[in-house]
Amino acid sequence: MSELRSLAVFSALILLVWLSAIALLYTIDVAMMAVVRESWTRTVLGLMAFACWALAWYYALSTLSRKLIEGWARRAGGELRRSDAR
Amino acid sequence: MILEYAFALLAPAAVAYLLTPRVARLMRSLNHVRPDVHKPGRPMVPYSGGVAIYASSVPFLIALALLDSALAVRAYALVVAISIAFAVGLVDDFKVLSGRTKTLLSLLTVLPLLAAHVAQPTHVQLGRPLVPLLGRLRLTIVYWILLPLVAAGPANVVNMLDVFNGVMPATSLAAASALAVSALPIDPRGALLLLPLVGALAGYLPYNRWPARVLNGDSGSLMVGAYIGAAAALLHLEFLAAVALIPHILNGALVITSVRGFKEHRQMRERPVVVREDYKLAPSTSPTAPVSLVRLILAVDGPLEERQVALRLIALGVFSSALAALSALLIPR
Repeated sequence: MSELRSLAVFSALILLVWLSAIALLYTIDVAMMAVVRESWTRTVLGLMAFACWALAWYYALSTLSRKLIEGWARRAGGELRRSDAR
Repeated sequence: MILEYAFALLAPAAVAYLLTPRVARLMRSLNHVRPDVHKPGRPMVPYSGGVAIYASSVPFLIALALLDSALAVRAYALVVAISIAFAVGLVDDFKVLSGRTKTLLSLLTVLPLLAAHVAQPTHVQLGRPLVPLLGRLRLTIVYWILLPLVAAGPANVVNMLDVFNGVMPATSLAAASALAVSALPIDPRGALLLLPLVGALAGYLPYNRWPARVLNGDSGSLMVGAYIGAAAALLHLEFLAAVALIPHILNGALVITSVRGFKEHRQMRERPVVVREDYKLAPSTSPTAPVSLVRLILAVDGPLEERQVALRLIALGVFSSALAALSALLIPR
């Protein structure tokens, strides 16, 4: 089962992206529409909210990628050292 | 109505199933073959299997347009949009285009949708996508800013994840099926537009699944992605399409940000994944290698065979397609 860990990790990631996208659209469509009257102001604020959401995901994904790849490099280095010792 | 659904689904499936081996033979006779790099001995496999998907879906879209005048404008707009993507992909299959050129050319796929919207606004209404909890989103300006990406975006992200046998047709089949099922209660006639793609992919998949007897080529992946995106726009299902394609979008975002731009895989100096002597795939340990979804899957699970990676990608595609279908259930009526 441990070799299916990637499915659990990336399914959880997909679920989080989905939930956060719905929350973002809900915020833009309900909250912003209720508070801001001017269409262009709403557009700019909506795009800014979307940009913040995308940026937050960019940093989250970059961090996750870096940690996963560094973790793999450490494990691969260990495996290599063990096979050299044998 | 049931007969129309059966025709739109089963006839393309039968044609794709019968046509694909013939297209593969034709491509082999033209020596249009590519090495299947993840297999021992790197066997040469016929390329541009997308020709079979195109030839088994587009004629049935045209037939639907001829049978149903209410659907005709949307069906013709869809035919032109996917034909543009198919042509760009086919040119790239025979004469390699740069990543940037391919991306820019794929943006042209929005033109037939816009033209149909302007010329026939009663038949083709773009904008106000359907989203869960809210219904029709009140995007009046942002939608038009993002519209050029509506077909080009899916075309390119589907193309970028077309890296292993069976992944492109299987994940696209899941996405297109989820969209077709979601469209049924909202726009029963419009749902017909997606069925030729579902049928064609179902008939084509047995030849591309591991071990592939034909490779899709960009003619297949760009066209299928553009089909999903353009059909979603015509049915107001843009959000659902984006959800169904989350694994593709994540992969595209990872690759584009790590290589800083649109680069053809042949232009990349390093590969995200290395093929070991035992033909298992392992993630590159180089800090400068591109980051892709496959590299991250391998970083979590360790070295895997090509088939195991493909199954994981397909499982993620099915999961995100299920979320797309769930999103449709959450749309207020």
